[in-house]
Amino acid sequence: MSATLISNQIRRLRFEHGEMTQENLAGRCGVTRQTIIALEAGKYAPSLELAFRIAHAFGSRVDDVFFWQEAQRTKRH
Amino acid sequence: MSQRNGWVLVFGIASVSLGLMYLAPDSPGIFAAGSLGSAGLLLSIWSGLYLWSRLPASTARIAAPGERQALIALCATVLIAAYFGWTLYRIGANVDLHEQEARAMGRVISLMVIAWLVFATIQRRRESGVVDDERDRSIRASACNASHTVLVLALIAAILLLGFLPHALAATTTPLLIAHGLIGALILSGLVEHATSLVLYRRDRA
Repeated sequence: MSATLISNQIRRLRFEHGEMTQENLAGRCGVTRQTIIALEAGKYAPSLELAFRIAHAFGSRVDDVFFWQEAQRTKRH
Repeated sequence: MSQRNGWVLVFGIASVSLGLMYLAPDSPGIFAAGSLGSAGLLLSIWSGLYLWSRLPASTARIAAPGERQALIALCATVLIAAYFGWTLYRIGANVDLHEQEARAMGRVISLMVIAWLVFATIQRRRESGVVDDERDRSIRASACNASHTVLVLALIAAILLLGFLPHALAATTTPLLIAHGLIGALILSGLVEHATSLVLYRRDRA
């Protein structure tokens, strides 16, 4: 489970949604809090299903939550 | 009694009981040391489980439920491996099914496995919320993969060893000794599986 190239905005989105706790998000998505921690740290790449569940919990689209790090680098340049 | 004193007492009883079981597994008499040791070990196991169930849940929340299970499994497997290895070392190459020490080894390992299963079940029941998700399944799959690889390598090594042993040494190899070697390979693969799980869980932490 090395660091993944899939990055995300979960931490930012949690704070934008009334400082939602990791526990709360984990409960909504049906995963453990430690999985949310690993996702936020960029240590774990979620399955497509989990990515959709997380996006749904925030009322966002998947590509608003997750992105390919190369794409972010390209955007910055 | 405080939690700390309770744990010290439990470990003390467990050590004395294991000593009694190891020193005199089948000594005759009303106060047979082996039976006394078995009773003491059971008492220490149940006392340990009681103390564990009294621990506040918040003390163990850094690790995922799956990681806690992997830690319990690794501790149990290390104990079993240490006991198995040490007993085999003491018995030597002349393993015999009717030997008291070999029979006692089977009993002690069975008790250890039962204690592990009970402990793991109680721990699982103490968990609240989601206890198993796709990350746990992915880690378990990687750990099983590593364990399978080690088992296959150990078996290939054993086959090569048996095939290329000098005739004098091969003559001393009994089927029972080979069977114990295979049990050892299984224990080794279990160790690798639980250790790999723990490493993968730790690597996932921020």
